[in-house]
Amino acid sequence: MSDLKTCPRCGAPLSAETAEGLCRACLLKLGLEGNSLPSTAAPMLAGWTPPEPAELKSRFPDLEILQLIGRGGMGAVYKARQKKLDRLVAVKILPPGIGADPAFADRFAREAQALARLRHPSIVTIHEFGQTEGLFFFVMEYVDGVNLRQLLNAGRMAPREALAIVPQICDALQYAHDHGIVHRDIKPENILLDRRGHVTVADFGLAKIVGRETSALSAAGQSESPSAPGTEAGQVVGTPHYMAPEQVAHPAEVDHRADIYSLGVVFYQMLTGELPGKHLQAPSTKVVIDVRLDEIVLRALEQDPQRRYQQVSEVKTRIMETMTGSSPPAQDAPLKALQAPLKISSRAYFTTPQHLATFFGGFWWPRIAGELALYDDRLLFSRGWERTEIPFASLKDVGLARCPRWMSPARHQFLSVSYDEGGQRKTLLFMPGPAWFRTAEDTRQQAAEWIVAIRETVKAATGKDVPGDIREPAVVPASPWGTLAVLAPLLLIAVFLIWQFVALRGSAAPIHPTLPPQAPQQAPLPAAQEKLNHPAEGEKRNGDTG
Amino acid sequence: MLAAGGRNADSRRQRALEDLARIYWFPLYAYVRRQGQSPQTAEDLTQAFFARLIEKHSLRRVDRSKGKFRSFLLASLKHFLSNEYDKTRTEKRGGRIKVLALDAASAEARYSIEPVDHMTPERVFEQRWAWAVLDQVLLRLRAQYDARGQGGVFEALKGALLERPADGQYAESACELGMTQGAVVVAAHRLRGRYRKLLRDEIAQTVADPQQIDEEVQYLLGCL
Repeated sequence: MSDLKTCPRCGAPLSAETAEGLCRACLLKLGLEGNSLPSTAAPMLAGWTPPEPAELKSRFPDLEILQLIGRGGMGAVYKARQKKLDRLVAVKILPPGIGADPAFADRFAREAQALARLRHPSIVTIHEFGQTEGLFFFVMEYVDGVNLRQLLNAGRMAPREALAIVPQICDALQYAHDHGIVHRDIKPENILLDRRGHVTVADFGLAKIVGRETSALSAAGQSESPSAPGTEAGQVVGTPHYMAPEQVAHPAEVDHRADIYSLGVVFYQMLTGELPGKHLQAPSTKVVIDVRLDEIVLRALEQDPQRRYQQVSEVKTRIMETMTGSSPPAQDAPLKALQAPLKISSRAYFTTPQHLATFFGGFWWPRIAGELALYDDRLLFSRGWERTEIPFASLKDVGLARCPRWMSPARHQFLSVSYDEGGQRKTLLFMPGPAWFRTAEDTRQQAAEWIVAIRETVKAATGKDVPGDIREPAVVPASPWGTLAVLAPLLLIAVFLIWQFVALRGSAAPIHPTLPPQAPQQAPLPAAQEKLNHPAEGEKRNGDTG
Repeated sequence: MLAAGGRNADSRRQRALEDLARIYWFPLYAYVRRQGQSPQTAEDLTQAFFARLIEKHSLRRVDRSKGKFRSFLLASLKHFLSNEYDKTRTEKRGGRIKVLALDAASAEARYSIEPVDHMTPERVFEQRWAWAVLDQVLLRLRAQYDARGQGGVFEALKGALLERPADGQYAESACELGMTQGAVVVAAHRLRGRYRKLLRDEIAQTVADPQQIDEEVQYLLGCL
């Protein structure tokens, strides 16, 4: 028979044979989407659901609470309007149980005052904070945009976009560090981007105030980060993936260099789309980027704070250095990413008709790989640092292309894109698709799909029809020397055959019909020797018979 | 996944389904028992049902888009019990064909420890199904840790799956495992993450569409 014990959390009966002695109902609940941890995460938050905007009306008479825009285990964020000033603000409320500790109110006020003193264009400004009917809250600047997590989820970021974002984070962090404030919880959810590509960092120092990590309290979205337990002194705060090692091991000794580590993780993720693994691999081993960025990222991710950059401004300086000598990242890069959503993208090989017409180019050497992406307003090919942008306005036509039959017997096909650059018509050839070994039909199909997608997108964006034929590929001229190299074996065989033929005819003519009838079985060699020994005679004889 | 496509994947799929059936046979046994059959008969019938299922490749007909594996198995079993019962009794039971290594003794032990109440056979089936899902997931989780030689970590931290321990408890576990307290926090977080993934993966195998995972979890919650 089962014991009559019940689960202390949900009250369900626990039987002796339950799964590992745990409550089955609670175990199942843990599997629900978004239920990162049963609400015991912070026991006082058990079962807390953020109040409806209407329920907050009485607590915030000066505000019109519009909607809940984010929530997490440690609080909720609402979009609201300040009636008097007629401006939008974000209101963050901490869960009700959080002030149970009498020391909390003091600590909250002390820290919030320090945070409210931070004034920086890249730091979310705190307008007001306080306590209303036992509910602790902040009224903050409202950022109309998305957070970095949402941007990362939407697809991988071009290195240039990452490089436009990171220096802005560096600025914000350096400013806060100069004021003695460590963020402690840098993660994509806390980095907000508005439509102009301007970066704002949210939740400064909140991790310390709350004493636990704040999950997704930023202006948008919900995260599933777990909480770490917190105590007044020496608490572990942060989000595990982004936490510096010392934040885990010696939480009491955390300084601003922990932020540099977390920034390193975010940077790594922006460049590669992945979190750094246990065995740290340089970003350039995963994606095509400037190797100088490897050094920056890896140094920020040093386990020992002593070996990291000592100031976050150094990270920015190093990034800026890598940009000199190549095209600097446009300031509006994230803006474009926001405004012009990506339609399709694919890894692609790139070449030009001119290159194909050279000797080595004809053999696809070197093969240049990169990322081809179709945005709402342009076609973009990025290969590491270099980027080729083709705005739709300059697009002339798209189509299929292939090399002459003898250069590419399989007849692989390219996507050919012609556009106008400074009054000159330029043509680029792409082979979208990842693999080295492709069937011709596969390349044709991929290229045709791109042509259709480009034409549709251009039509939707500009209303104009781009000429594009997906039936008949144009033939790109090949280098005569390349042609010769390919045809050389054939030519050699032909020459050999002709030579054989001529040689056969040339030697057969003298041997059979001209041999003297008296020596028909004589081998040619002794005959030749004889001829050598008696040249005059042989010649005479030949002359006689001929 | 039930919907592994392609012709060649057919036998692999069949095997995957057999594996699933092997995990979830106990709910079926419990259902038969609840129908009032003796332990012996229940075991035979469960065996025969699986024999039929596997032999007739009925599992191959499982169409993922049609719904949940749980419902499919129960419907098949009911069909089997009503239509093929007599036939089976004459043909198969004599032979006592064993297709699965059902641990009948343990099955009966499991069955008999269960509280006697007024549950319908369907309800018993569904409840046992929910239990089987969790047991399977925990078994796999434990195996994952054992495979890495971290059985101790699992044992020490499994309580943390549901309850965030007090700091003192973390310190205790840390001491026990020879880890820093911070590392224990991270390990506990990881344990929860792995558990969640396994649970959702396991349920994903039995539903038509990943969208239905949450729905199924909710349903199973109601079955407990």
